[in-house]
Amino acid sequence: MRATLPMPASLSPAFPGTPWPQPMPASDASPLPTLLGQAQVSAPPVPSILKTPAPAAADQAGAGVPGIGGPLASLPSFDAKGEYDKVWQQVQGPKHKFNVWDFLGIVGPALQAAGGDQEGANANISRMAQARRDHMEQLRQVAMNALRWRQDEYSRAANLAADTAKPFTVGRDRVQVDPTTGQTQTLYHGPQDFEAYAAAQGLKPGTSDYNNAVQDYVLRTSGPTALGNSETLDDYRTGNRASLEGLRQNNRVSLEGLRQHNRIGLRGTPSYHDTHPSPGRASAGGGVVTATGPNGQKIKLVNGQWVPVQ
Amino acid sequence: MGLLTNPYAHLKAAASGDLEALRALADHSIELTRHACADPVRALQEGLIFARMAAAVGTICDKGRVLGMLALCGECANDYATQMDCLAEGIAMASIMADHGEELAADGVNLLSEGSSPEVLELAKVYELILKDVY
Repeated sequence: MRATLPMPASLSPAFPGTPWPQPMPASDASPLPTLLGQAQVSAPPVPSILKTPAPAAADQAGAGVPGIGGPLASLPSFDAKGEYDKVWQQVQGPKHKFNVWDFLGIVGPALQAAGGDQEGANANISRMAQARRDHMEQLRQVAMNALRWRQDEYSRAANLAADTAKPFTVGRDRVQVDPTTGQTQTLYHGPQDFEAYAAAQGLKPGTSDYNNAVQDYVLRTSGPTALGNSETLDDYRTGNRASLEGLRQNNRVSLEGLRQHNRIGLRGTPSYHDTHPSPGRASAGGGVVTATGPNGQKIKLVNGQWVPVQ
Repeated sequence: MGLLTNPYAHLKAAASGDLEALRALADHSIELTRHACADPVRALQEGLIFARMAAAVGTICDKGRVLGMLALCGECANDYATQMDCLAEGIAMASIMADHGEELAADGVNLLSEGSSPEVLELAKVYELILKDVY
């Protein structure tokens, strides 16, 4: 025989029992009430298609996957009851406005009983009820399998969504993808070293000081601050050089003045040669200028003319 | 009553009009629906042939059996056409029996008519016309 599959307690409201709009009218002559009672007890639990679905499904939808916040909040939780109701209706096939099979299934054996075949009617009705129970059980197992497939499908999708929505690290940022929209959002921005350096000085992002600090961290000795310091130092050195140059120039100027002054003083002072002029050599040579002529002969200057020395 | 070890052994008797054989075969098909290996709709449709024959010549009990089997068949069937067919035939039978003065059937027909769609009732009228002389 088929194994009886116990229904989860949460699904039980889907089977409110057989909907009888009104009891079958009892006849004094017939044992109908007995049959009816028996039939009602043995009738399988059939979900009422007249009743509107319980609002539990709407309450559960949108509750979100427990334990996962953020983008997954928009993913509706698995509505087991609603899904089961849907599957159950699909498995059962189209139904009439109310369960006419119950009527027909009662009227038949009731007529049998009224005809005098009470034993046969009882046996028949119980067998029919059993067959119906078995059939419903079969349907219910099919429905449960279908529900399991749907649940597997859902959990696969939920797992995929959860996997997709897991935060991951990009650089120093924690980033999350919203599986419903495909958009990424930064959960945590891990500051870069230069940002930490700039923020540590209490500077506000966007200000020129902050930007300079960022550049300082990256460019190190070429950064704006280092460049400014270099410029200041260079200016200082240039100033020193300029003043030193002035000093030197002044020294040179004063030295030159001193030299000029000395030269002027020297010029005004008679030299030893001036005070002691040479006696002259005119007495000895008569002031004759001699030289060597073109032919190697000795010549002398007489009245502006070179004449050979005799 | 109950599951037959060899339903074919009853065929000859049933074919020659043995009411008990027809009943046994009809009951056999009902019993067969309890077994997982059998398709309940097919088993009932085959059994209904014998049940209808029994009802045609038998007592009100046999007609009641047909009604019950129709109910079971419609319940087990998953397609709307079979369900409609079973229900229409059942309503037609109950209606004919009500015409014959069966109070139970009359009450049943009233309730069934209330709960059935117009197309089923249309089909039931056709059934009633062709079944009128049988039951």
